Amino acid sequence: MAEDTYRYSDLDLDFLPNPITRDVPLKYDVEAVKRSIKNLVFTNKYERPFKPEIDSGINRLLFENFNTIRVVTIQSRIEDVIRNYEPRVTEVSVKMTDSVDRHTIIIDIIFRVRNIPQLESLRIELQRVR
Amino acid sequence: MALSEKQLQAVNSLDFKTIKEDLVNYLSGQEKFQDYDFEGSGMSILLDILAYNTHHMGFYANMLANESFLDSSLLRGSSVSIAKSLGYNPRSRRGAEIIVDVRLSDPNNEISDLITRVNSKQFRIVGNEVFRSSFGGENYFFYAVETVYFEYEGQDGNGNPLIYARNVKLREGRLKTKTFIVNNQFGNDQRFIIPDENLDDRSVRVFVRKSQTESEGSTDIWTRSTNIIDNTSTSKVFFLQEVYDGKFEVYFGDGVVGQPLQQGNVVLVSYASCSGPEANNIGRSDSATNEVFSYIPSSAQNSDVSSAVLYSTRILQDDRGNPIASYGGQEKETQVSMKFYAPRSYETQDRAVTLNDYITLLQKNYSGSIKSIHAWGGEDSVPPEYGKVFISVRPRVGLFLNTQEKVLIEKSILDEKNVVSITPTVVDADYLYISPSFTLKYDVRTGQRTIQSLENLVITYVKNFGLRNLAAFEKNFYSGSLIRNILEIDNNIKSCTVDIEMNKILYPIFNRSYSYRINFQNALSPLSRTEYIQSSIFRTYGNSPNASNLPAINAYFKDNGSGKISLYNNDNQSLIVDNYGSVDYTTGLVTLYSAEFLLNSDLSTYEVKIFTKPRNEDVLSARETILEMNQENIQVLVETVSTVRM
Repeated sequence: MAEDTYRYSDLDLDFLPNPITRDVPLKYDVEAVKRSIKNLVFTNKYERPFKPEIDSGINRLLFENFNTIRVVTIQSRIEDVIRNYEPRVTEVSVKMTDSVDRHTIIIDIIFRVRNIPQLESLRIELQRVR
Repeated sequence: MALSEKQLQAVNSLDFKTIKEDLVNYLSGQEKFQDYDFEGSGMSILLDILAYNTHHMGFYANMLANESFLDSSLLRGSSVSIAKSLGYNPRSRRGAEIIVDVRLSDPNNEISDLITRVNSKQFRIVGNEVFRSSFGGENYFFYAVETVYFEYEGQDGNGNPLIYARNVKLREGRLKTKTFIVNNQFGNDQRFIIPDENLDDRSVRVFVRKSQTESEGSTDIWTRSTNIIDNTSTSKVFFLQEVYDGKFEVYFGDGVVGQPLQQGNVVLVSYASCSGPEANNIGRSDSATNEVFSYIPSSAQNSDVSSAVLYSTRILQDDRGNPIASYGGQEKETQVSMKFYAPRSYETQDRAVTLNDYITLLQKNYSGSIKSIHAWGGEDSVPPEYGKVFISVRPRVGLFLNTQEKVLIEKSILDEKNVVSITPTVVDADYLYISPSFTLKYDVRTGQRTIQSLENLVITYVKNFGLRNLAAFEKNFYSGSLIRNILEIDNNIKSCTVDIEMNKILYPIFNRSYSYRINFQNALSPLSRTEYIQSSIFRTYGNSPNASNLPAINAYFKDNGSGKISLYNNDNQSLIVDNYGSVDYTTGLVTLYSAEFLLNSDLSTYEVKIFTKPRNEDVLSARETILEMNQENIQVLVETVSTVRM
């Protein structure tokens, strides 16, 4: 089977069907890991049943005054949640870029998936919606 | 082909964690989805939701099953509903009751429009007579249970007419009404729920008026029915039951059992909202100069009326002249109680046949006031009294039930439910006080306690032992058990011996010659070299009872070791009456033939104590006897042991 060649495979929570087969697509390997990291970053305290401690804190911290200390706090919280709950990645580093004029924060997460030599990156853009 | 090679485990837990572990274990048997055990994966999030939903449904099903059974139900509404199917209606809150004599005068004609002449001698006050009393900083309202009929008594000091009613039974509670208009337009599902959890179910009265514009039926009282026997299609009856949230529902017949309601009828429910046990013991301080109740005519229930209307409201007094305070107020039946009594009530079928039926019925109807209860057949009494069942109750407050409470038990609770030829009789509990004296050997070489602290420790222990193991019917005192426990208090207590005295308290009828029987119900042993029993000092006539011209003296009685009791002068120890009574040392029965006790303010108590010793170190109780540890007279002597004696 084709998926046997993949090491990681996961459901895509967007559940957007394949336009041709109408099947729900899966995510594989690095893409699956990236989707997992993204899920962790967007998880808030008490959101997961019986696991209140899974929390990147980003939702709460965005409403604090934005300064250097806050940037460092957000970076370290994201690194912590990935280290604690995503054992497939190593060498995590988070970089934050703020674009005040655009009301946007860009979070770049650089990491290495175990047993895959090259570095991977995931960019998450947080924008003001209203 | 199955998705996974593994199987889901049989349900062994409703716990979220276990459910998720089972799902993860199941998914580990397939290769299509690999990320099920990484917390951030989409699979993990879906598994969380699935496990949570399973846990939630499992918990819900568990609760649903629990609430379906009397044993396991947690919600009051569920317990009440299940009890109903056993024919058991849980008791509502009960207002305290009191009996008063009321005397009114009305010089300013404030209530003249309320007074109706019944006949040439009787008057009746229209409306619900309400009385008010303050207690513990709160105002409590009492209403007359039945219509009060006054009689013309004479004139007060100012020449105004006085009317008088004796033995008026009042019950605590604020009178309220709730009106419903019958509307069956959209089906027959209208409910008449009284929004008051503190309702006293004995107070509910129902009137049904034909319509809002027609007054027909407005004075007809519909009666409460507790069974369907005797009800016909035209019987004006209503039924009452507790429903959800502790509220009560009035419902009516269907045209076969009981008269049904018609479209447009106006249902008026009047009831009392009571304070339960908070209103017990009101009136203890009532006296002619300090009356605790005041009267409020129905026209002025929300305002003070001139004190000129009220002449006096005196509370009924007992044989000793003390006011009989309010009694019988109870909280509504608890869930624990209904879980206990509903099946037992079903067993008794609301009838008193066996002894347990009597106990169950009383505990159900009177439980708030009962600390301990015992019943026995008259054939077991000494001497036997056939055709009777005796019930003895230790109340929660005080030592004895008052006369009104006894009548309530005999007439209201038991009379309608027991076998016709059997007479239920309530007798006072009989208290036998035990005064132990302990001698301890304490090893001071290894023990760290001081003599005083050890004495205090043992006294406290014995007091608690008395409260835990005695103070109720059918509880015996075993000294061996107590000694064993005392030895375990401290390893350095090397031995413990006990000497037991016991006493009974006689509450005499004063200034009247009377025969008394005091039954210790245990074999007796001597207090000293000769006498087995001795009394405390009391006041009586000098030479011969009934000789009222003789001087009163302080006296006591004791026996001569041969079963004869004699009366002695306490001042000079001279014999006054030789054959004053008798004592049976085997049965413990003391008889005074003709004793006359005098009330004397010089003596501080109104009781006579009779002291003796049990033949055995164990004291047994029977029938109405309750053993009590004499809390004021526990003696402990500690002897120290410091050398080894060979």
